[in-house]
Amino acid sequence: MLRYVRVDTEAELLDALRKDGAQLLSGGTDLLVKMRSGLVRPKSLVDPAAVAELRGIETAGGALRIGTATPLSEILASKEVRERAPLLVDVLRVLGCVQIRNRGTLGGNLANASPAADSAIPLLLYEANLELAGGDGARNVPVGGFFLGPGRTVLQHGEYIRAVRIPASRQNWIPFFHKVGRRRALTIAIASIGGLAAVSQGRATEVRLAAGSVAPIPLRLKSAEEWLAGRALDRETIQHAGALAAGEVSPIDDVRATAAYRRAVTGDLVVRFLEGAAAA
Amino acid sequence: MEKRTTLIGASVPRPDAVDKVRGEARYVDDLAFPGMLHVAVVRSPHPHAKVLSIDASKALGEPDVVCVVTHRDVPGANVVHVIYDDQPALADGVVRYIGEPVALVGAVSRRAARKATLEVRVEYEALPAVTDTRRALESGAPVICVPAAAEGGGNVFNRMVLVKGDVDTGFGQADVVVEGEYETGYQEHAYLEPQGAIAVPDEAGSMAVYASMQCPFYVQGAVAKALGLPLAKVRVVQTTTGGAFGGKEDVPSQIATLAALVAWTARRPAKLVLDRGEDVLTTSKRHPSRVHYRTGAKADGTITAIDVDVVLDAGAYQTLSSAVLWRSLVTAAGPYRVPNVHVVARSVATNTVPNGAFRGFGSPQVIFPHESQMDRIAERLGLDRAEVRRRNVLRPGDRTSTDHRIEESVGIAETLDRAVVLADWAERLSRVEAFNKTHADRHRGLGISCVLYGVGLGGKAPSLDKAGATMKLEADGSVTVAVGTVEMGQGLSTAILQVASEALGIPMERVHLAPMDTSRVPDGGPTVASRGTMMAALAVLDAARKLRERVVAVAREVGIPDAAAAERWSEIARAFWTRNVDPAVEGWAKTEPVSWDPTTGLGDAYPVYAFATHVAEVEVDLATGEAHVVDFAAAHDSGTILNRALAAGQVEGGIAQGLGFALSESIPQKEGRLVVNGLTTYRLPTIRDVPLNARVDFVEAAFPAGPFGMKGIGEVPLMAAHAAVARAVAHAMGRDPARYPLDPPYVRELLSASA
Repeated sequence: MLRYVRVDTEAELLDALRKDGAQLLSGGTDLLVKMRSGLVRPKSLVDPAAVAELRGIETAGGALRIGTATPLSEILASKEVRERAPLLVDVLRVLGCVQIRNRGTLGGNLANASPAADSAIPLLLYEANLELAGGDGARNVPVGGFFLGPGRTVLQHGEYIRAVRIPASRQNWIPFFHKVGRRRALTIAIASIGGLAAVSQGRATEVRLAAGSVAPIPLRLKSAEEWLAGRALDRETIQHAGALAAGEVSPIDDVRATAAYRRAVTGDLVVRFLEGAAAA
Repeated sequence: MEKRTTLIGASVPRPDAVDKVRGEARYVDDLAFPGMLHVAVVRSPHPHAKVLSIDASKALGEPDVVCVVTHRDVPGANVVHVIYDDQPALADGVVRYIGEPVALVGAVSRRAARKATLEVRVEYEALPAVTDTRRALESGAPVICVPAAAEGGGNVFNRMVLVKGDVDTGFGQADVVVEGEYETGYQEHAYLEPQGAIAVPDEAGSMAVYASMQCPFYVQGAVAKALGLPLAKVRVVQTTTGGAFGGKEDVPSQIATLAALVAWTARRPAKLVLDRGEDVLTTSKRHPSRVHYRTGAKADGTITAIDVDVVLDAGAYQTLSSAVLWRSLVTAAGPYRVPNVHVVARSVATNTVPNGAFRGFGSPQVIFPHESQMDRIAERLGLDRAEVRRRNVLRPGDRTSTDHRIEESVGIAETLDRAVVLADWAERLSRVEAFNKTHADRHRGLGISCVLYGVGLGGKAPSLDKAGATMKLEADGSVTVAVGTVEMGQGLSTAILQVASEALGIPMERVHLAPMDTSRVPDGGPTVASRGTMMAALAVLDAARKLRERVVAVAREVGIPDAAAAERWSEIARAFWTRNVDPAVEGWAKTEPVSWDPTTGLGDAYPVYAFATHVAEVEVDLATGEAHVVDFAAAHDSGTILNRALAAGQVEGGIAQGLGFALSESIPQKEGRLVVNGLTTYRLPTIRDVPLNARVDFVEAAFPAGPFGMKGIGEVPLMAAHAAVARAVAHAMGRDPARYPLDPPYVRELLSASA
């Protein structure tokens, strides 16, 4: 018999998660689908929605702390988030659909570790840190070091994400996000490309690029970023950055698209972003 | 034609809406009967195999399992009765597609039934499978279908031809000839409510069936055949049906037959409701197609000849494929005047799930080609795409491709003119061109599509084109009406109440439509082919006329003048009761006989045709290949519109379903296995994908033999929409697509090819 455990405190959460077959339920929009198809068979579902440390949005100057069990729709509606991490809002707006955003959480989206996880893109770009707890002690892990492969993360048994911390960041970022899908809502990305660019007098001060659904994990496109740093955003530089980006991903053929398509689109969207940034 | 007054055409709210919105409508899975068993189906995992043995002993040992049913337990004929009776209810010796029913488990709970299917041991010996039509047509390909059902020989279920004039002469007169190969894939109906039926053993050895369906009389026939019962001992009640789109034309015959076999064996009520994944994987879909299309035209754009070859992938059994194929054949020319026509159409058996009816019924597969060809002719000749259509569309007095001279209710030219106005075609074209000059990363495109749809069953199944209605004046003056076609979400019940109320001259609130029950009304054929409302309304008009005659007579007897009959209706009804006057009447309707010759394909294929023109504007991302519909205009000729809001709703829904077919919906098939996970990986359009600004209008070229001049509408919107969208994408790309769906990878592939 499957047990549903709603905990009120972090201590109860820790206890409940140590039990054999315990599974954290943070929204459940992926988990319940997997349970229904028999991919996972937990003995108990532990719902942390009432645990204060995992809920809500706090600010400290330009930085944000978002409890991982906070529903995505709450993040989407937050003025504080829109001011400090506008790209996160842009991305959440196309994640799933209204119903999924009402249930779904950042913790769930990240821990599910889909290569297509939408929220990973802005969090990678903002260089967010994840506050983990429940293992051998609390620790902080950058989002960039959290994913190990499809469905695999650094989380240990009994460990969970308590909060996402987004550090204070530039105010003048030019943001970009494009999720390629077969429809405009409720779609798993065929490829998604995000970027942040700081441009001064036609020269890239700093560019960050991230991509989803084009590799085993959502990732930053480092070689393209390094190539761009400090360079004038002329046509050749941009084209080369696109080529580097396309070369940096390792997509697969699946029912949604071919690897070749994903690679080509990665390059083209990076070019589109940089052309827009150069013209801005 | 009956006089039309204010109620006809009015946007009367649907009486069934409140129950549905409140969640109170009872669908089949909401119903339960005492002692009811749940049925789960043991299905073939092989596309083609011999069934060597079935061992149910382990399953029967489970405490909650009551029975396991195999082909040996079928008391009547082991078939799912549709047209050819080639499909067994339960596999007997051979399975021909993945998902074919092999055995049934009846258990006290759904969970127990499903679990026990894993305990039924079936031993198979794989046979060579043929899973695509090219292979199936090769000489030397193994024959994988039931030979008696393959009238075309080999794996060809049916081969049909249509020959009018002489195509060689026609092509000789042409200044340009364009030729193309077009393919479409599966489309899933994705009705909101999955398939389901409950069979309930009833008094005196009879069987009652409650199910979600379009065609109660088909289900009655199928269950009677499998149980070996007379038709009179099978009573079929349609439960509130959550959408159908053709998917509940033939499939409920299978679902109900399976439920009835368990009910019969266990002598207990038995429910079979498919879950979404099982429904998508194992029930009929739109036939995948390959069409070769050659068109000749004069320099002024006038078409001189078409030569068309149609291949439909029928799947493993005939089901409705012969009827679907027929519509491909007679619709191949579209709404155009073509003097020389040659069409060959074949439905081909493969070891895949049997395909069946789907809104449009074999016509979308030829519409994508005929509209693509029309645009290519315009391009070759430097003509406007709307203008080339205007020069070819059928006018009153013209002959269709089947040589049917049509005089009345021919509104295609008016729909074209209206759609061009609604879309602001010329102005929009120049705006699109200006947009494309100033945008390097995305382009817009405009597409136009004209369609013809023969309403009803026509020359293929004239004996089904009839309808019955019963009407009963209750003692308080309310009126109970029953008809033989069904409400399945399309709005039939509302339109029928409007018609009955109009014809009787009493308010709609006083008329009630009884649930569909085969014991209540005579066999009025299926609710398909955009005929349901038209035919039922005709039967209701006949019944109302008879009841009015009696009302007038009784009124006269009690001294009420005709003019006061409406306001003193209750008094008259009371007088029926006190004077023992028969208050019940039956209405009947049938279509005019059609003449159609199967050897030439010529004749009056249908009693009447509906028409439409759609214009779509899309925006295409030139890097990713994503296409999105940004504007839409639709003009329809379905004769007189009975309820404008409901008709517009049909059009809006058809646009959504059509754009899904053109842009995003597909199911890959690999060695007979459909690669799809319910609706998770089947990309239906969402509210963000459909144009919310669609402008819809009706030209209403009245059909004198129709009720108040109406003809059908149901299928036409989808038929016109997909090609308008596809051709808009083609316009944006400057490339002609050869297949659906125009999803991002395919659009990008086409764009790269043009670079």
